[in-house]
Order: sequence, then C-alpha cells, then structure tokens
Amino acid sequence: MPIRLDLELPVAPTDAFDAYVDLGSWWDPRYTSDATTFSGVAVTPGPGGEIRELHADGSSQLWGTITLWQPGTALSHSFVLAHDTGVPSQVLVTFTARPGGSLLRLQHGGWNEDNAADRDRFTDWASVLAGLPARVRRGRSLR
Amino acid sequence: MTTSPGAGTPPPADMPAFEPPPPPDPGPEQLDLVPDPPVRRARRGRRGLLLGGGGVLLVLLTALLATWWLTVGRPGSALDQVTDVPPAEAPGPSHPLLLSQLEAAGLHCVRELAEPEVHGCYALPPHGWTYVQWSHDGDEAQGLSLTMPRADVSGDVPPPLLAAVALAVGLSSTELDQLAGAAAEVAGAEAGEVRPVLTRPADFEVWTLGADLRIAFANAGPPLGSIPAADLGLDPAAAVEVLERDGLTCDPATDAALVSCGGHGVDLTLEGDADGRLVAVGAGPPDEARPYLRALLRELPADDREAVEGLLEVEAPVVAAEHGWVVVATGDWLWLRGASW
Repeated sequence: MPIRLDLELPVAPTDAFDAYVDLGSWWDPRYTSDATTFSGVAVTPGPGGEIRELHADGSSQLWGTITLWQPGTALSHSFVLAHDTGVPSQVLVTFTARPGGSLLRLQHGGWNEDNAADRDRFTDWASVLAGLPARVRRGRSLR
Repeated sequence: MTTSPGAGTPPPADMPAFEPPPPPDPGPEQLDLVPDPPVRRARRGRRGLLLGGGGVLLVLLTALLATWWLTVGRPGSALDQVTDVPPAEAPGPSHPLLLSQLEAAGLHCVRELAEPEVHGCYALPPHGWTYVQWSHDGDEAQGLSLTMPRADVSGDVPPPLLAAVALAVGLSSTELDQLAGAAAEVAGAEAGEVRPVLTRPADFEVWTLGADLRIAFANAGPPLGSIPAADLGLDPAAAVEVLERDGLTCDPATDAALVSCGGHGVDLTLEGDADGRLVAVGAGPPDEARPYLRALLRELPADDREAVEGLLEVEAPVVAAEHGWVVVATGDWLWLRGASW
C-alpha cells in the first residue's frame, strides 16, 4: 500500500509545484544522511533528471531520478533515500486547483517484496511536508 | 522517515505514520487569492441603491423579458441547444494543452496523419512503454486513448504517464486515484471487461488489449487505433513465409493477433488486425533486424517502401512518421506500424 498524504496550500498549483521542487529550501535537514553538513537539494528538471542531496563538504547523495515532470501539475521520481535495500520506491506528487489555492497529494509507493523492509522508515512524511507551507508563504512574500 | 546510520540529529521519535499533517493555517493568505464574494455583492448592492425605484423596475422587467426570449421563446434558443446535445458528447480536452503537457512530461510526439490530423505521443526510456493517441478538430482533442502494459499498472501509485494524461484533461487528484484504481482492477482481471469510470470532466473506459491496457477518454468520439491507415500488403501468414524462408522460426504468440519469430539473434513480433492485415512489426536488436524488416516491405508501393526504409534508419531514441507510417525506435527495439484512426 502506498503512503498517501494530502496538503492544502494557499497558492495556485503552479506556485505550489515551484515551491515543492525547491526541495532544499524546506526539507528538514534531520531527514538527510547528515544534518550537520546538509547544504541543499539539487533538482535537475525534466524526465531523467536527478534529485540529489548536497553537503558542505562537496559530497552528494542521490535521492532518485525524475520520471515525470509537469510543472504546475505533477512530479514523479524514484526514491532511494534511506533505502537500506537499495531497491527504489516511487513518489508521485500531484497538484490540483482548489478554491483558494491547491491540493498537493503525495503518494509514496512502489513497495514490493524487495524493498518492503524500507517502508517502515517512512513514517514521518507529515513532519517533512510540514516545512512546505512556510516555504510557500515565504515565496509569496517575495513578490 | 528515519535517517541513515551515522546521521546528524536524530529524527523525532514515535511520529504517527500515515497521518495527514494538520490543515494549513486558513489565514489571510487565502483571501489574497480569491476576492471575498460577499464584499463584491455588497458593492453591487450599493450601486443598486443609486438607481431610482422606477428605474429599477423597468430594468428588471426588461431583463426578465430578454432572458425569456433568449432561453425559451426564440427558435434555436439556448434551452433548445442544451437539450439537443447528447449528454455523453461533452467537449474533448484541449489539443494544444494536451500536446504541450505530454511533451513537457517527456513523451515524444509526432503527427501521424495529416487528414484527419492524428497525433501520437510515445514514451521512450526511461519511461516504460506507453503511448497516447488522439485526433483533433480545431483545438478540441477527439478519440483520446492511452495504451500501456498491464504489468505496469499495479494498483499502487498511479503510473506517472497515466497521471500526466489524466491531469492534462483536468482530473482532480481524487479522480486520478479513482481512474488508476479502476485501471489496476481491469489489468488484473480476465480479458474482455470494459470498465467505465465517470469523472467530473470526462467519462473514461478501461479495457485490456492483449498484454496491454487501454484507457480511453470516452466523451469525444471512439478511441483511435481501430482503423489502420496503412498495412504492409501482406497477411501475417505470408509474412511468416518470408521470415521462415530467411531462416527465422515463428510461433503464434499467446494473443491470436500476434506472431513471434526469432533466430539469428533477432526477435520479431508481427501484429495483424481483425481483417488479417499485417499492420505492425516490432523487431530487435535494430541493426540485426533491419534486413528482415526490409524483406517484409516488398509488397508496399515504391513511394511507401522508400519512406518506410528511411524510417527504419532513424537514430534512437526517436519517434518519426512518414506517409502514414510510424516508427518508434527505443535503442534496442524498432516498432513499425501503420498510423490509424
């Protein structure tokens, strides 16, 4: 069963997408391989693009590869962060219009017998996504 | 989620899993996006007070009369037009929007036929095998369908390209889940089931097609793909004769419309239509398979044969179309098919 979370955001889907893919600006460093040196997340837009965690010492760690890049609509990518098995799972994030803003729906699936052991590590998506509304508000205040 | 061993600050312990986060603060930021309707109504109300009482009555009577004439009294009125439209013929999705969204999603799109104008968008690696087809009349897409392997529809997360198409035609996240769930059920069911999925912007139908699953947007005409615009001038049996003469061995595949041939390091799949016409051939690896593909072109008229031979030389990854023929080159496989509507 996929992990599924909904988050309402007070901005249009295009702005919600832009804020989401600016992962390094809102991702909680505690949910990285090394919070003390975490310096950001590089996202290469487009199918085949990489999502990569960056560190101040110059090292980086691949989170996944983008399989769907539809600005303002959807993002899908493989995911290997915190996967001890090394077998990737799949994340699909969709953005649809709602009165007053948009609905972000995150689905984290692709679980099978080869990576089922990793699923239990993903109990804190809600905590991680909690950083996004603040990023959205910051984005709006810059305009 | 937890961090890897050796991570910095440990994550908060015992966070509840799978619980949605608290709703965002419904603060003043939402009001910035949508003007407050009651305020607008109040403004209109104030303007209304400026009119004299007789003027208001006259305006209201005139408006009522005009509304009655436009909607009921006049021949061909709006009411007639509404009742004349079959309920299933809602407008199709926007062709330009669909094309731009699917290209943005990384699909390779070509115009397969000029008259009627038929477009096909194909997923090449890293995507799994998927293609989307539609024709269009003006800006409206018609006969839209998506075809993908049944095995790629698991009932887990919606396949990315299904999400791309569904969201491009205006489905909500919940409707996308509904459509993906139905697709997963049909993919795992016996062949022959056609599952309708009714959503706010469109009615969909989902059914299996051999090893594939087809999802059709049912509002705007029947899905494309049933009437080939071109065939190789052979029936599959004649094609098998050609290939076996060249040293390949052929067996009917599990699906009645397919024949599999192999040998000399080459695999070929012949696809016939319901009328027994050979309408598509898949083969790989491309360099080794080209001589066998060329041998199957001998019945084509010279112009078509020249066009198709050109298509067979394209450099992967690419999708190309010429003279009603389409070639999809993934790098390790060539798929040649007559365009269809």
